Amino acid sequence: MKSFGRREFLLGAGGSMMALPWLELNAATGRAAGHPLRFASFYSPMGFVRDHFFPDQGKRDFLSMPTLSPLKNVGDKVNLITGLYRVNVRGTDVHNQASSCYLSSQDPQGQLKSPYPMDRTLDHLIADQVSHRTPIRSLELNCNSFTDLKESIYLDNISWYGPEHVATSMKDPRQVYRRLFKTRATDKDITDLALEDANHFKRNLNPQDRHKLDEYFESVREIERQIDRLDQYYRNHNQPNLKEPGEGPMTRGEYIRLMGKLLVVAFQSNLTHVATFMLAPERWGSPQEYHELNFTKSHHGLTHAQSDETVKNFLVQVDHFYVSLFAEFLEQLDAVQEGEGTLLDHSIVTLGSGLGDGEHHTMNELPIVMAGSAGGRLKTGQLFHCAAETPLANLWLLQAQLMGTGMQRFADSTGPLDSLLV
Amino acid sequence: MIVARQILCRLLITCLSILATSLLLIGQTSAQETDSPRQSDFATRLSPLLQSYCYGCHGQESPEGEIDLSQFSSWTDLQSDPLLIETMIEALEKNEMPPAGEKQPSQDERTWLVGELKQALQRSISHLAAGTPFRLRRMNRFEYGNAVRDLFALESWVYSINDRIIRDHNGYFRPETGQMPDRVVVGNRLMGLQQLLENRLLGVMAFPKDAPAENGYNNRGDHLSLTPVLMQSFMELSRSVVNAENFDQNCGNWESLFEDPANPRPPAPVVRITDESGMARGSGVTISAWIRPARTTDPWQTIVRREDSWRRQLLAIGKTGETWGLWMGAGIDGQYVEFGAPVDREILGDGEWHHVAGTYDGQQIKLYLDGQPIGSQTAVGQLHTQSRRPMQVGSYDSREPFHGDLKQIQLYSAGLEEVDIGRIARGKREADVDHLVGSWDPASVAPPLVDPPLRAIAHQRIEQFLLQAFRAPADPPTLQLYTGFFDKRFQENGDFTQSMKDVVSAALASPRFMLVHNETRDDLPHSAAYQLATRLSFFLWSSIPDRRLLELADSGQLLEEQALGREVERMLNDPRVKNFCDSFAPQWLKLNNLVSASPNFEQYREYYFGGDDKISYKRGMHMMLEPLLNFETVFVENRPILELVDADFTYRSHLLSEWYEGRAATYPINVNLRDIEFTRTPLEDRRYGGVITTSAVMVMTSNPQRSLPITRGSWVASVIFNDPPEPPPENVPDLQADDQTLEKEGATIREKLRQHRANPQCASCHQKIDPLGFVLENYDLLGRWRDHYRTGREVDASGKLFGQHSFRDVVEFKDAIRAEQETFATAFVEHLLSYALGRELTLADRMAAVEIAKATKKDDYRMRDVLKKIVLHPVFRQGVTFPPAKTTDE
Repeated sequence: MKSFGRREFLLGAGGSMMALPWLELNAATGRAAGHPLRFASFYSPMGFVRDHFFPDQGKRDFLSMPTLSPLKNVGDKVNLITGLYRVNVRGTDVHNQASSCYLSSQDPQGQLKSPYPMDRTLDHLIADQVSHRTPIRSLELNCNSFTDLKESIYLDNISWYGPEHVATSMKDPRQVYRRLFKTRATDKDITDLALEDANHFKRNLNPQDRHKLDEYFESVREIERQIDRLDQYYRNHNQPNLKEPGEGPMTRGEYIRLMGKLLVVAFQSNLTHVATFMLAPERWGSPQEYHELNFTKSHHGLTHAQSDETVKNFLVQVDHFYVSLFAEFLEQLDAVQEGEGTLLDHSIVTLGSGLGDGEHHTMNELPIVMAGSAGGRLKTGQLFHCAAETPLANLWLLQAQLMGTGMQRFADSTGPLDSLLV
Repeated sequence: MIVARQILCRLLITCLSILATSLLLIGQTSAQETDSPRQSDFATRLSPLLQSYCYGCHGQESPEGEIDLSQFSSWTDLQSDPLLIETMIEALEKNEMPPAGEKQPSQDERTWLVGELKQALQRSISHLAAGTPFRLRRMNRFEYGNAVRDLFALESWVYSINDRIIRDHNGYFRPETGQMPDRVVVGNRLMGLQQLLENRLLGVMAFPKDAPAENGYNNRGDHLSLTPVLMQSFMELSRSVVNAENFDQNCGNWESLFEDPANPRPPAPVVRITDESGMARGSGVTISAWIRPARTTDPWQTIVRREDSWRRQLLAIGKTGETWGLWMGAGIDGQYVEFGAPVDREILGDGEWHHVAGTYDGQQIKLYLDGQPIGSQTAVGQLHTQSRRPMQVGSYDSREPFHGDLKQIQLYSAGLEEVDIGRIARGKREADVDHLVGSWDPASVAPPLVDPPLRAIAHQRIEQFLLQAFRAPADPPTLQLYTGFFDKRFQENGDFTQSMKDVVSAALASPRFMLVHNETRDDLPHSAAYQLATRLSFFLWSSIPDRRLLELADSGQLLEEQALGREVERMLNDPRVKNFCDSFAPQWLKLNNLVSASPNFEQYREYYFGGDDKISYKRGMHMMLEPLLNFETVFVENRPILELVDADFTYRSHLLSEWYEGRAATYPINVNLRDIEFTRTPLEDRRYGGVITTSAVMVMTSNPQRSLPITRGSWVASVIFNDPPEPPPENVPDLQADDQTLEKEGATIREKLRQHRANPQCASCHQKIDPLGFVLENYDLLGRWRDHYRTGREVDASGKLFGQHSFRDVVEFKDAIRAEQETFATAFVEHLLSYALGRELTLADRMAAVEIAKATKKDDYRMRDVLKKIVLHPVFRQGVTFPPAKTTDE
């Protein structure tokens, strides 16, 4: 069976990479003071109630805003960035676009390859460069707890390998746990055989399908790589002291907290350096139970009726709830010492939304909170108000550059948002 | 719609260029376009009309919707933009353009315009006639489960998933009969812990449910991608399925695949069913057996028993109550019925062979000893005959064993007459051969035969297996991969069964299995036939083709029109076609929206069966089944699809009838959601009947406080007319139409919307969807009829369909749909076609839908006819051209 040559096939020219210990600290980009940088992008749907989130013009104390107040424990490591916008491609559903194109590298003005201006997203462009350092390429976490899968794939995913190629997110904490901490004994012969067959098969397909079949090869290659690396990793590292999540019901808060905890451990153990995290899906037409808030309401429904004070009061609670959970995540990162600094210092963590205002579906004045100093390269604890017409892509470009991608342009960027740089 | 089409247009251009570069245009290249003779009437007739009615908005200066019609100066010009022509036709046909309030063309002018534009559309896309090729995609979760189940003839499910809503608990779904029974026993999706109790492969985890496409289905090629996270699931499934601890006992083709020929497992003492479909079709049953008990115990001794909840069938001796004797049991009308006739123990215990039999003919259970009737009981009803569970001999799962000897056990699909039973008892081997569907005899168990070497047997089995798993014969190098793997494993561990399982695991991990593909095989004479077989089975069965389809592909017969037509008929009569109903109907109706509908608990207490709104089951569980049963009836009985909208019957449960009649309990009640009885109810009141006016649809298009006419209108536009409204523009002001505001202002929601529509940005779209929603305002948020709002204002349901057919209420609205039945039929075909092709329809596909609808018009668009026409249409056959019909064809 050696004759299959799977190794050559799997790794191709990059095969030599396998030999490198990926945790070796070299002078590559995407790290600071010897510590690798972590990238996480959190998504909260349908914007935030604006007058509880953005300080009045001229005021800079954003931590006193009701919705942002939970961030005060890590306030000196957080920035509020205002004034960024995205172009909405008209005539297509705005919510679908808000989520599926939030991190997209496609210029919204350019030629579309799918119904929305989607392309490979920021997290994957970064992972392309840094994933050789970690056993797991990236994590796509999603706290969508709706059981009625009635809405489209676009509302439920911010992470995409490319147009029409979603990066399947994980919603089950047990699945995340197993992916991080369990190495599986796989039957390499079986995988070898399937791959060999796939190569035969490929010849009988038309060019378009052949291209689509690459998803198969890439996926198999990725899980094989991951298994090898996890095996190797756990030869040198202990399993983290974390119990496998149970099957029991969880409150909304417990669920998000647990997923956050898993991500903290993954970053801390250098199992991966790149993650996306959806706190909730974009426009889901179902009521959500907020156990901690003692009500069940449709988040989307609330955003559209927020001109009513009672409704707005509910919505403000939801906003506060999500920001609190995000703040808890940051505090946990900040509690992990790593050399001179903390894990949070060696990270770029963003919380944002693809809509500036859920009531009116605007895509300007997007709410963006960014935490961590990227190893001291970013100013923190400040409010940055961007000049009018500053594309969100400028921020993404800056993050991509800090993470070491060497990119010069991202979607419709006009240049990196380097006012944030120290 | 207009802007959306523009974007589609940009997409199409991309697609077309891909098409062109990859040279995928198969089949005939169409006749060259000829345009010149029409040039004159473009200038003399079309241009003036466009100038009078269209240029005002769609001219050079700031054209609305970025559509500038003045730029075209010839038919050729216009034909370069087929999507635009289609948009124009639709806008004209549905009277959407010119907008109300603008100068309107005369009816003659409109008709002429539509006619000419349609011809232009034909000309402009004639070069696309060969159609778009099917896209490679992975199976979705539903299909994967079905495919694995069929591949191993599993008696259990593969995994417990909620994708299938309606569960058949009394064998009501019998498409081959062409008739739905009046009484059906059904369950709604299994919830929570119930799922753990379902018979499924242990330890096998499903991957997450696939999202539906917007206004589409969850089998869409562009949505079904492979990713590492999913691949992990597929890889794990490929091993966990065959290695599940209860796989072996559930595997229906164990003997022909995994069993070690040198060491067969002891033959299961089961009645060998020789005619499964005959059994399923039967309306009665006879169990006949020769017995020689060694002991006549009080505890029951099983002669035969098929254990399957209330569907069980059995023949046994023993004591229940005061009766010691012969017992027969069967599932009749959703209930288990059992009857025993007293027998003298000494007769049966005399050490001689005795003949016993039990019959059921739809009227009576009758028991016989040595050819003589010994008792009977009336039990009128429909016998359950669809169970796939084994009929075990001499015990069931080792329980209630028979002490003594058994022979010549026979199963008939009819209740035999006394005279036939007498013949058997007198020693005749069998009576009524036509109805003999299964038998067991101790002598029928053949000794193991290992003549050819084990490897040869294995190789041959692998070849057979791969044929079905990959939906085409494996070519020699491929076959060699798998047989070589078997040899390697077998040499290493000497374990035939495990080696075979490893080979099967590898095959399940191959893209040839997990992807739905369009592989072109130069080495096969009828490659296209195999492709067609796969398309067919995934369309109608949501699964892989069966042996027969593959045989017809092998011989090429599937490519002949008549044979293909016969196959479609066969497939539509096969129980697996339930998968089509289970998958298509709920998605078409967007029924998943009902799962999360939650009317305000305090105000609408009666919607909840239990004492709260969180964990309680809801009325929606019953409601959801009503439109699905309507759909299945139209399907099974091949009724006109208009009966999906306007039918004179429905199926309702007791609780549902109560609900419609306003008698629902407002306190907690205990409900059984596993076996719900629905009965067919004739309807004279046309306010009900058809899917639109079911409470299921009304509830899911309401919010917790009130009905949502726009949501309803949008549902009707999308589902019934396949014309989903454009997404609303940004900056839509809130309607401010909550109950308090309406009450305060004393306004109706219609009045509020009228204000909103004053905004021209909103008007053109609302002109389309509002009438479709307001016509349903007579149904409150729970689907119950109302003449007045709670504010006391009268409900005004009147409107116009397509600006043409006035209606005052929902009954007249149904008349209006009947008047526009061609539009409805075309829309429905489009839905089906999008599902069948697994893609968002292209312009050529939509043209095909028009043709298919036309072709079924003369018989009132009957459901099965429509499905058949879809399969026979070139858009589905895709490159397969029928040879000229042979007169000698059978």
